[in-house]
Amino acid sequence: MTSVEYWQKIAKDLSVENEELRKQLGSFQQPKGVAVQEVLTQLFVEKVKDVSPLESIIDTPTHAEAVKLPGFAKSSIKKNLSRTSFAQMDVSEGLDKDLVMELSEMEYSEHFRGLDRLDAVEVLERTNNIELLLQMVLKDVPVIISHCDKDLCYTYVKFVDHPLTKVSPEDMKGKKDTELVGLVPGALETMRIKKEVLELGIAIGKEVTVTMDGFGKRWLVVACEPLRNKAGQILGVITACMDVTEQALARERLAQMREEMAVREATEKELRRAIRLADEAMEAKNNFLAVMSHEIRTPLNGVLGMAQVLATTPLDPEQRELVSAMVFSADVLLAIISDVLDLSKVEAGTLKLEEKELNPRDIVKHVVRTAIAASKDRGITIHADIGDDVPSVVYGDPLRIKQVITNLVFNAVKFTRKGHVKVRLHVAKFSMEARKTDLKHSVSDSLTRASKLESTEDAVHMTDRKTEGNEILMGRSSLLKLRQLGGGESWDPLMEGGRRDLPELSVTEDEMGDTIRGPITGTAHSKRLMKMHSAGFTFQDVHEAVTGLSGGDQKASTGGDQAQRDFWLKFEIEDTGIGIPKDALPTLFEKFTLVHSSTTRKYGGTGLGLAICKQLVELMDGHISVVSTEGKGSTFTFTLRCKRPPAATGSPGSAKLVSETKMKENLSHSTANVHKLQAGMCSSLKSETILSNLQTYQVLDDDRGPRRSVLVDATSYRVPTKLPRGSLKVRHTNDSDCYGYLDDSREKARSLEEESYSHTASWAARQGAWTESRDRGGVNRGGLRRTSSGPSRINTLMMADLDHSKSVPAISAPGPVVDKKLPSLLLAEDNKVNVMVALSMLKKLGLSADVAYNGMEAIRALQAKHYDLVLMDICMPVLDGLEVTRRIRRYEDLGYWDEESTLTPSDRKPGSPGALEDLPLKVIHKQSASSPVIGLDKVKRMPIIAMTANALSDCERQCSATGMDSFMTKPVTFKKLKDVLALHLPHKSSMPSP
Amino acid sequence: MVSGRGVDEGVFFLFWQGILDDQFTQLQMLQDESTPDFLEEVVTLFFDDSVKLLENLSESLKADPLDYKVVDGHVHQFKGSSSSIGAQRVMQVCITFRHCCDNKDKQGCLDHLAKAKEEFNIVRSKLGKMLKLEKKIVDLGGVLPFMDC
Repeated sequence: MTSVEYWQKIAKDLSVENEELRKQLGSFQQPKGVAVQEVLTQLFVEKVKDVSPLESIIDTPTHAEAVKLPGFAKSSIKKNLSRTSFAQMDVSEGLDKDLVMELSEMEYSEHFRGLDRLDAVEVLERTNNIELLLQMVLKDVPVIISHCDKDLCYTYVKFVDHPLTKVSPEDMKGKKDTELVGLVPGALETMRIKKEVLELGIAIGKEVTVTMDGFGKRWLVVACEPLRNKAGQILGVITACMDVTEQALARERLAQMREEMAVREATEKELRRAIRLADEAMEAKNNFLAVMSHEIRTPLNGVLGMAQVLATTPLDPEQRELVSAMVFSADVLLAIISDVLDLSKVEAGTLKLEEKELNPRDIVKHVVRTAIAASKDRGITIHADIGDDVPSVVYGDPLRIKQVITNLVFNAVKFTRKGHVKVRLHVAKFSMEARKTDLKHSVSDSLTRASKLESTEDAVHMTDRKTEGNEILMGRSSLLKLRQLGGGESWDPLMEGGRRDLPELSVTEDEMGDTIRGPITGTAHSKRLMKMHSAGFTFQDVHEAVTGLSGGDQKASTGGDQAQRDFWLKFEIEDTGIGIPKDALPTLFEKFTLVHSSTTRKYGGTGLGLAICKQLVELMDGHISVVSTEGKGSTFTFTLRCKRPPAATGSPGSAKLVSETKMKENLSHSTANVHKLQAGMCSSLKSETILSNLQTYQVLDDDRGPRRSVLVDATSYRVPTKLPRGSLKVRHTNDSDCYGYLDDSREKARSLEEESYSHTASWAARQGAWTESRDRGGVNRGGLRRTSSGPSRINTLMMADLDHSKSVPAISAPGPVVDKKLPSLLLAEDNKVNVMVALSMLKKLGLSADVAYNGMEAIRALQAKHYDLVLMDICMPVLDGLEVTRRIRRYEDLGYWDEESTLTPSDRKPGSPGALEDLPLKVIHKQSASSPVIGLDKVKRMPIIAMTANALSDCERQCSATGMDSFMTKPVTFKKLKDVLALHLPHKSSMPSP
Repeated sequence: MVSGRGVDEGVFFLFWQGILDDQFTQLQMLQDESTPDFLEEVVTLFFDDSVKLLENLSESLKADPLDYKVVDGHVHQFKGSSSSIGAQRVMQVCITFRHCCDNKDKQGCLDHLAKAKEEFNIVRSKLGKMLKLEKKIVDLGGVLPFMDC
């Protein structure tokens, strides 16, 4: 056999083998998701095309072509080199490594570098032509192809553009993975795979991670396949390796994100759960409070009721005083129970304050009197010191103010074994300038003001402030700081995260002098102050400052009415009790806080009192603080922003002055006749305008003897309340007005009254539900007005306190004679007893109502007749109150009753519980379901008042959402009914006086 | 303080025992010259109505299967009227009675029916005396409480 024949044979064999190899490689690649085989075939064909000119070159070599294809000159490829079939491919005698070298140099020198070290046999054995073509084909495929021998040493490496190691492919030859990258896990793993491939003769693919110097951590997909010769012997391992680092990193990021998302979802779920639990807990708490307050209130009402009945029986003065104290205590207890309930409202920001006329002097006197009665055997003196400048009529929430004072006074009494408890009430004075800035509620202003004060006020003050280094609080806490000088411990709850948006109160010299009195040796200030008081300067100053009316003070009078009416009342409750330890001060105003557990055992208490005080005071735009020296006593001080009643139009300044002057004069009188006269005048003056049955009582005031006429009635408070649409306009009187009119002629008084009326035409007077409520929390939930339950506390107090009074129903007040037309009412209620009681109450109010004993009857009644208002029971047979309301509102929207609104529920069961069909029905049944009202383009909205035994807020919300206007809890009381009707009945058909 | 002859049998006692609550004073307040018998009328209506309701309740509790909705409806009625009259102990029983209906607790319902009857009988027997006392107070020129209207 010639050499050529030998090589031809070899080449033929290898062609076959290479074909096999190609197939194997294809099948190896394919499972990896790359259709390599197909691609390779195609590319291969193309490449062969490119090479095809070789044929002609071989046949007819020319210089020019030789130049084009430099490798040709040295090649001796046979003519029959086929571009389509490897099987036919022949290897010419001249085929040698040079061809490979030339081609590689020409196109892929980098990849073919080192091939010259292989002899021709090796080239043919391992790469042959197909290898060359594969090299070309795989040029852009990001796969590293390598071949290792049986010792797992590289014999060939084909890199893509991005080599994995710094070692060149050439240098890799003859080395193992571990020798190249060290004994790292990835390399070991790859070696292991290759070894396995060698041993088992199967293809194995796996992803390995290799960390290499300069390349960091790389993720590689390694696929190994044994390379066999024709005899099936394994010659080595072919490895295809792909860098999938980016994908792996993306995959890891994805996994990480999924993990984070899962964590977030879990957290969110947990938070939602926590919120739900908190909501449930809050709801449970509110329900509990609602239920408990009701449970406590009910027997307490019994006690109060008995005491009040007792007060109406003949009693000697001592007994009467005791009963009075008893009533007052029960009353306060009731209020506190309500406030425990309110505490949650405060926290939820939904507590509403009332704003109506009150007499702060009376409130203080009442509290002190009660405290005296309650501490008769304690051996302490309790007295009130009320400044002459304190007006008798201001606007505010009497119950809340009384509650705060009562809490503080009773606290003081509780902790005082000897000495005294003193309640001082003054008007806090401050300059106009300060007041103006004060109205801005600006902390930054207060800073400026504080620094201004610093420069002008006394040295002690300044030094102290500098020591403290807290200028912001200075204006507010001047009192406090001065107290500190006196050695007492003080605490300002604002310093512990209290409201900082409160108006700063700049204290004038007078004020400071005032505060210095008492335990501190501020003699000079004290004397000066007393002198000023005795000269009447203080009153005058305050009067000028606040009202801006005297001396033609045009500048002051240019200020807004609001500013003119605002002023501050300062209440001080001083005791000589046990005092408060310094370390207890910071938490003193927190709820459920008692100074020491032993305190509870010794003195009792819930720990709620001061917390309630603080919350209430702050709700009233005020500020509370305490100064205390352990063992010597404490002084609680709170200031409240109050409003004076607005002056009448015309010449308000003079009118007001006259009124107040007369008030002072009258207060100095002590003859009952004068007051009877006043009451008489008042009653005659008001007789045309007063809504309902007012009763006037003569009240002997405190021990000083001034007698005052007090009107005890729900409507005796003037309230700056804007009338809700369709509300009842009410006129009313108050004692200060009476005094103001005393010296005027009746006509003048009437004229003033009329002016006042026109000025305040948009006001309504009401107690409880009528009173405009200030929503401190800024949340108006549902907007339903809830009539307060329980007896009218102020009134009952007054009644019990009328120790020397004889009730004189001096006023017989007929209703307005403007329009005699009575409002038409519909009472939708299924309970006979309830119906009877409600009708009786309505009768007492001079009203009557048609009755519908179930929801459908109510609908029919409404179809038949126009009503001004509906009192709607919620829980009714056939159709409940909510559904009826929905239908009514739909009717009002549409202008006619649609069919759906007149349908009786199909599931109605005749004779269902509560369907009291046997009762006489006052409603005229005029079936008009099929004939909708024509011409009613727009139906006037009719007030619907819910009546339900369910007092919980959910029910109230539901009623509100359904379109009801007010919410009245059962049992219906006269007051609730009166209030709610007065609120919603149109003026022209206002309630007649019973 | 609240003790002495006559008191134990009167309004004080009823208040003291929690048999009546403030709502009753509302009714007292509603009685005046124009309706001198109002209290008696409304109380009588309450009694008659309650007797009927208690009968209905007894019947509905005998039914098999027991329809708690029907029972609850009767109790709701009873609660409403006792609340209106100020019979607060009856009302309290009704409140817990309704819980039993909610829980479909037959034994609880039966127990509460017995309690309701018991409380109702107490109210019925006491109210008669109370009404007389009230009438006496008015006749003697006394003032009834809660005249805040």
